[in-house]
Amino acid sequence: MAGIAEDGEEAVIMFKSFSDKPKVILMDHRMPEKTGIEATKEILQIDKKVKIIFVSADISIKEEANSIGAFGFWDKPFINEHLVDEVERALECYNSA
Amino acid sequence: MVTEIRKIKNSINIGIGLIALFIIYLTSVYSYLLFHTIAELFSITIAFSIFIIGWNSRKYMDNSYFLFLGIAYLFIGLIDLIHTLGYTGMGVFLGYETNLPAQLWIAARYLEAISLLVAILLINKKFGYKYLFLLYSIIFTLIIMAIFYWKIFPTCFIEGEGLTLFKIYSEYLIDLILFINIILIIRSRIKFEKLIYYYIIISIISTICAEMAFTLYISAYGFSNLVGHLFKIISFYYIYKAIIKTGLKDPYNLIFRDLKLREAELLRYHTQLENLVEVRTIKLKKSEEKYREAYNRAEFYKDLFAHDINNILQIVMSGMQACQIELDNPDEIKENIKVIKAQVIRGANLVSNIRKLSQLEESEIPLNRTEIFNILKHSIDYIRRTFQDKEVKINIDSISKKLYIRSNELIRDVFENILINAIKHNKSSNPEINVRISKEQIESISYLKMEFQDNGVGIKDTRKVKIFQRGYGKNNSVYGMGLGLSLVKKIIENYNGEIWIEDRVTGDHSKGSNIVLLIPEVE
Repeated sequence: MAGIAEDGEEAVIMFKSFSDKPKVILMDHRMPEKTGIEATKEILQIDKKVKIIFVSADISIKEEANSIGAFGFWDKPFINEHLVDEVERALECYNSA
Repeated sequence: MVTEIRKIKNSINIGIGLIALFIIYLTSVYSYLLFHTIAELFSITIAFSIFIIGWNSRKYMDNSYFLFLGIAYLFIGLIDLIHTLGYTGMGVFLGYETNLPAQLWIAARYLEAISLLVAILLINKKFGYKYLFLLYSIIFTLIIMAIFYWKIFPTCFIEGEGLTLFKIYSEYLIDLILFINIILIIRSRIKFEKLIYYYIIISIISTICAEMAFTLYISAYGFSNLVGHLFKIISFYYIYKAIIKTGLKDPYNLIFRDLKLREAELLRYHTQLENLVEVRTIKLKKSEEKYREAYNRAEFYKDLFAHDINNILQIVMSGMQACQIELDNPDEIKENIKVIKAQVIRGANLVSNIRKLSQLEESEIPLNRTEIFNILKHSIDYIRRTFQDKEVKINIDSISKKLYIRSNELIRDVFENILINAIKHNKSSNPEINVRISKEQIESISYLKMEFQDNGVGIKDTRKVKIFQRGYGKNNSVYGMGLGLSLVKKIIENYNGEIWIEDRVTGDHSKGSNIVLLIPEVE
């Protein structure tokens, strides 16, 4: 199962609506309505297990993302294969928890 | 009221003075010798008092004038004392007639006139007062020796004949020296407190009058002699007021005048300095503000550029990686190349917008009378060519095909950014934009109203204002990417216009947006 949200607000709404919660989320930061950091805080309050990987061109929020419980932070531009590896690692972590 | 009281006091003082003079004059009726003795003792007392005040104030006074006069008047007073004792009829110096007091008088007056002259010439100079005291002692001794011992002092009075030419010409010469004195004192008036200055002038004038009277007397007890002594009383009275009275009643005006002047000058410099500091502080604050603004602006653009370019590079990277994967699929490669190309254009636009926005913020680009209907048409043509893959429909409904506003070359950026925005955020397969141009009169100013209505995704009310913001204060807006609408707003404001967003269908933002421009029209 996979989904795409247009912005942080939609991401939180979608997350809440899924009965089967997603295991990994690729989260941008600078989005309309709600930022990635705000959305991450809300989502992690709902489900602490979900692995949120930040994918953002805004490197200034890296420390904050890590401090609020993000699984990882990837700044743009990145190589797709590396991100795929990171997603697989996140899934492994989720399943072993 | 104070001036009136002062006038009355002055009048009373003058009245008392005249009465005193008259009383002194009356003594001459009884005994000329008594009158002469009283008159001379009056001036001798004042002379010695000048010395006492000048001598005791020497440590506090930078102005050497009063110290010099103090020493001089001690010896002038001594000569006048000997003159009084030796006056015709006193019987102190036996064997001496009227010539003795006349010689002593001339000697004292020469000494007085020359001392006043030297004092004013030395007014700004420091001197060794001990040496001056010694010098005057020597001069005094020489005068006394010349008159009493060596008997070489010129004859001033011949019994039966009257004043000698030496005496008369000496009085004129003394008057000339005193006159020069007056001129020099006037030139140095800043050095004196106002009243003291006037008193000294009056004193010298009185001395001149006395000397003139003393050129006319035939007898030691004669009328002109009497008049001369009365003028001498007036002269010494004003010296008394200038130096002694002020020295006792208002010593600061005498002794500390220099200090006062310096204090006043210091206060003036202090005030000037404070004003200068204030002006510089304001300039410094303005510079600081400008620097801070420039710094914030640089930080903002740096941040914006880094973030947005990284996003563009990511899409280019993803597109290229997709090409690598789909090497056997030319259609996929073509699609990805289109994506890459679009991102390169996006990057170029970003750089261009940053440059223009920065230029607008730093300095104004001049405005000229511009016909904009044709510019709008060219912009629309450009947009159609840019979005060839989308069937974009753009209609113009204008009140006129000749529309004039005060603008510059950036008006094209306004139209293109608005149109690009309308197409980018349009998920419809048939994007449509209707451009409606009308005129509006607001408070006697004629405006062109341009409405860009699209059938795109619309803009929520919460974003209608924020969409134009991309500030560089503390609260950086994070909405959207790029600078298109921020640039548009800045340009329109530069034209003294306004821009805002409405819903194409009132109350329902999902049916598309209506971007409204209101720009002052020109003939």
